[in-house]
Amino acid sequence: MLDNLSYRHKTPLAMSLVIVVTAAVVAAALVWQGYRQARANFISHTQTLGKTLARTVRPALLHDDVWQAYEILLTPLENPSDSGRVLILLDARGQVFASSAPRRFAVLDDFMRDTDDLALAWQLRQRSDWRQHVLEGASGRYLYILTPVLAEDGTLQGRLVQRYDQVLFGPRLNEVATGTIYAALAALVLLLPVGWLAGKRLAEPLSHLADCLGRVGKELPDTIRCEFPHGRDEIGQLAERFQGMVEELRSKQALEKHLAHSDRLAAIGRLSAGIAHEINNPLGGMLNAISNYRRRGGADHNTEKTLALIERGLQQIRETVSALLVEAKLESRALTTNDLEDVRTLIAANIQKKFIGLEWRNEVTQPLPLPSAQIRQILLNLLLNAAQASPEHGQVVCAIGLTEDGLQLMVGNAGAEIPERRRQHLFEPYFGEGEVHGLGLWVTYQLVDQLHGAISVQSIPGFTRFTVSLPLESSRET
Amino acid sequence: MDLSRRKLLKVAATALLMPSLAVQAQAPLLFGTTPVILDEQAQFLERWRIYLETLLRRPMRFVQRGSYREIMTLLADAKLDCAWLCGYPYVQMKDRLDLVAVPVYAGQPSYRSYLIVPAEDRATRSILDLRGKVFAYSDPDSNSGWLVPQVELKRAGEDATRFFKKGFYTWGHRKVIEAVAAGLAHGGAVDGYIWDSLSRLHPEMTRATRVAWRSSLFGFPPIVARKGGDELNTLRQALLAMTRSPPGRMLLARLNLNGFTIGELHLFDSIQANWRYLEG
Repeated sequence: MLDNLSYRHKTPLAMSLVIVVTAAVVAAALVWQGYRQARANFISHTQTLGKTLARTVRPALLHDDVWQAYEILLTPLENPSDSGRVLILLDARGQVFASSAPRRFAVLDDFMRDTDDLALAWQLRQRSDWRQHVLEGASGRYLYILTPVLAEDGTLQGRLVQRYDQVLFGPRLNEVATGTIYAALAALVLLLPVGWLAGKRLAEPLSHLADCLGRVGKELPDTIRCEFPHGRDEIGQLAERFQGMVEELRSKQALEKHLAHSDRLAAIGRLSAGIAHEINNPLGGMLNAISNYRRRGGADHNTEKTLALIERGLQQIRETVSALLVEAKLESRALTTNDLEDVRTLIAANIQKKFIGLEWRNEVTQPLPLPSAQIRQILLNLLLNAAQASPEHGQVVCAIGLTEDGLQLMVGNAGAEIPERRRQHLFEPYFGEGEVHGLGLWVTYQLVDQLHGAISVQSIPGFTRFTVSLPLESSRET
Repeated sequence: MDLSRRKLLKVAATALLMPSLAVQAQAPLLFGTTPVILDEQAQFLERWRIYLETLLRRPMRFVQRGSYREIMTLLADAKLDCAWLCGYPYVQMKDRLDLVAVPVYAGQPSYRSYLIVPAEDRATRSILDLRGKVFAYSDPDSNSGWLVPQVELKRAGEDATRFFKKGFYTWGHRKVIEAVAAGLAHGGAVDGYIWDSLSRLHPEMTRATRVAWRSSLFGFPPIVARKGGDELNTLRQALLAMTRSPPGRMLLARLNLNGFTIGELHLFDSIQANWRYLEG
């Protein structure tokens, strides 16, 4: 049952328990210590009293003055009828000479014989021991203090027996205990909330971590955002590992997504190439047949009109198919600045038609080991797209530069954001409504892919930017 | 102004000091007291002293000692002028003392000795029932607190020194009562007047004791003066006059006495007879 309890409760409970137990132990120790101290003080006090009384009663004992001895024995007692404190003066034979409780210890009673305490009787028989003794009675009820009454020459004249009921310590113990318990309670009132809060704070990151861990697998790694206090303690280490794990899951997912995308594009590439080849062969045959038929002549006007219609259709199929079938033209020469400036010239008509401002930044001044035809087509495609997407009087930016990764082309426009649905299939062949075909980006992607480069897009409302980076080494390899 | 103020103070001081200066001009009369009365009441003695000084027209001082014997010695050595003694020391020193006055108690100048026992002792009827017990005497020179029980035992043919397991002196009647009440002694001999007075003033003290036996009457402890003293008459008149003034009557009430009488010598014959009996 305890195992199922959350650390959120378990830790404060444990803290509180430790505080309560500590307070109880300390209080008990203090009470015991206080009691021992009070008892020791009491014994020391009564020992002093015994010595004083033994000296004071000596003349009375010597002069056989029972009354005087009795009066002396009564002086330290507030109330002679107090049965807790009894003072007994014994003569040299161990008989009662006088006592503060004459009814219990009558004059000339044989105290040694009458006492039921063997330890006390044994001690009283020691004739030559002239020291003061503190004895706890055999029954444990009484505390005895034995003080010898000595004559001037040191001979034993008698003994003073002080008998104290241990019940007398009860009120003192109560007093000490009450005081200590109140102090302990006050300390508990102060410490318990602090301990509870401290325990809660300690357990908080742990339960937070448990919550976060519980979300893994149920939610996407992207949506799991957990903050932990920084630190190198165990929780900190766990939190760090957890964050690492989530990060790895996230990148794994991104990688999978990317791989799936690339695979799909590659599959489409293979499919379209296959289809193009399959179509191109009969297509070439059909076009040749039309050409041969014309060359032979004799076609009437209607036939010629039909043939022209068929030829135009077949030509359109060929164009479409060849656009699908992007093939590297390895014979292409190296890229020069002029190639890039040509593209600027080529796009100028489209730009001007929509009154678009073109910001042209070309940092390439030397020829680069990249195939010029492919680069020209990539840049042209991107610029045509940008011009098409840009609103009238908009701005199109073209930046061409060199980075450590190679040539970088950036084309941006101020058009609407590309919708998410479209973005997922952006580089695939697109045959949407109202357009003949959307092969521009497909072709661009194929070209970039063949050059071992990378193409990416960033699109927010009002700004869309395509970035192409092409490694210079790739051209050397090919 | 300063002068007049000083003068005023001087006059006031003189007025205050005058009577006592006059009184102190003479040597004080030394008056010994013994525990035949409740002489532990300092306030009462002080009032009585002032009262007597006024009547005697000379200073006086009460002298208290622990035992009768000490007062007797002081009297014999002429270190006291007069004393309130027990009848027993009086008869012992009769030829050296003059009888000044005898107190009147319960209408007569006599009192009894009481044998007291703890209240829980319902059986004891006589001192002979206390064989082998612890006994408290008040003073070896006291009639009621020593002579009477000694004579009683001797009459019964007992040896007083061996009759009791232990006997001790408390040096005061009041303390005999305390000793018996506490159980320190199983019996005690006490001045009947003291026991009666205490049972009126402090019944809680006598309640724990019981009067087991009362003696016949003896002459009340008298006030005596050293023979040949010049103050005999003045002191006697002062004592006899106490019944006649309210302050005197108040003091007598505190003493639980009716007054003083001149007293006759034969009052103490029975004590003398007892003494002779014990000696002989």
